[in-house]
Amino acid sequence: MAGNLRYLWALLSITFKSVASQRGAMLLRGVFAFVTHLIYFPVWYVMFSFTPSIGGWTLQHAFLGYGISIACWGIVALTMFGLRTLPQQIDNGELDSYLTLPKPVLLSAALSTSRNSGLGELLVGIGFICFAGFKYHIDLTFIPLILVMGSIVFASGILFFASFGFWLRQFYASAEELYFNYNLMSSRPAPIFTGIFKIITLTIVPIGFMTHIPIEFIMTHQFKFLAFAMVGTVAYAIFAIAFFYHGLKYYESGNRFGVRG
Amino acid sequence: MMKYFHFARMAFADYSNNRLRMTTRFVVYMMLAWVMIGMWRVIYATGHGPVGISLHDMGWYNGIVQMMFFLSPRLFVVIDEDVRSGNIAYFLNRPIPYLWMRLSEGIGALCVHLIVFFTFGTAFLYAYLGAWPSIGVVPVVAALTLLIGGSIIHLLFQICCGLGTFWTDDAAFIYNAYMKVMLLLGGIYLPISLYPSFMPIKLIELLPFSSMVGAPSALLIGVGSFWGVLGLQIVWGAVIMVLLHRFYAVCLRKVEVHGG
Repeated sequence: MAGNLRYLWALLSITFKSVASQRGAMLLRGVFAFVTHLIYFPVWYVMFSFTPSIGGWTLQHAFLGYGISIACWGIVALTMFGLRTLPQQIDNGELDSYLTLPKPVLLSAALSTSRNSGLGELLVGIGFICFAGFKYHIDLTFIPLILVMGSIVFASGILFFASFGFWLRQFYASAEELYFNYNLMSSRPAPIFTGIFKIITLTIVPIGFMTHIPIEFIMTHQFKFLAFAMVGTVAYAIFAIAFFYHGLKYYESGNRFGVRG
Repeated sequence: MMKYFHFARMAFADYSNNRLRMTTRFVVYMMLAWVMIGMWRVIYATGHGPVGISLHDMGWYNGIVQMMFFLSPRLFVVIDEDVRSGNIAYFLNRPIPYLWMRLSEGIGALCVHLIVFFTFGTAFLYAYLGAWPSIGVVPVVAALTLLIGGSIIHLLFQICCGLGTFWTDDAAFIYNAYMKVMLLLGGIYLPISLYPSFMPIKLIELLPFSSMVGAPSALLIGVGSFWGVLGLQIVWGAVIMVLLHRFYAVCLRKVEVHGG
């Protein structure tokens, strides 16, 4: 366990060194991400100029929802971009080299690449959350925990969808479509998800644990919501990891296995 | 022209054979349309629905708006990969302009999506909402026809984003920025005619984003005219094509200076 943690830290260190070495590109992408999201947010101003709330969801909820979802997108892009390319790695047989290592395949595959635009998105997300906190006097003490939980839920969702690539060839484009819309839906108002969609947001596409329930906790300070989100996060992460390893067994049983130096 | 036709034909065959990609796209479309219509359902239930537009018609508006995003293939990803891998150098040697080759491929893929989404997408909206819009079925046909023009302009914008890779090494974030502008100025969440007074509505209606998606869909709620939107699409399509051609020439010079 300690060895795996050291390996995790080493991979993260390499990622951050790589990001830091491309300061120019990172700055350009960061500025672009910032401007992009600033352009987008007036959409919600337009929407809430029309109606004061959507089922109790107001502009402050929208700030928090969008901030959390975009920050989680940034964290995953920055640290675990390999998860998003998993279907490609599977198709190209790139997991073979990780299978020969004594370290967990998932760690190696997930943390092997990063996208430095993620830093810009993370900062924009935090900016939105802080703005909401100051403007509407919202207690932000639990935001770091909520961002970690949200990132785990989002990363687990990506892992779950990407793992279908073990059985389905050329799944990369479809998977990208799913990740993007998964994140997009997490910033939508919680009250619009009712009936079957409410169940979906708490099970196979658990955006409820990523934004809706944590925001409920921030606004009401009822710890039952935080506890529910934590249990849901852990359960979904275990499910996604188990699903990945189930797929990996199928991959290992294939005849494309090869070893590269 | 035949060579462009063959590239479009090959893309058509490729996209129609990849049923998994198509199914995923359609399922995601249904979910997003469902969610957006659900949002308006909540707004109407709390008594804040716009006067003069029924929930039913607003549902059709949202369904058609969402459809627009799923009609065009993700062409910017292909160009991004070509530029980053250096493969574009191989295409430049061919006796066919790279720019128009990719556009014809995009149109080929678009045709597959048009068939699927216009039939199953419209059927889904009809089944979900229970009837045609109160204004009748003709505006639905008109809106869908205009979506074809909007999708072609969307492809041109995607090519611009893809070519941006020459400077940024990543087209995705340029495309995301373009999409956010589209969400704001295209009338995606609500019709442009309902935008608050602090937004320059008249100006927004003249921009390409509105003519691509908001204005065609607004026909379903009785706003705008088919010929007006079509005229705007033709003007913007021509302007963007000319600008794109010039931008492509700049990109070519960059390739020649730096190598493939």
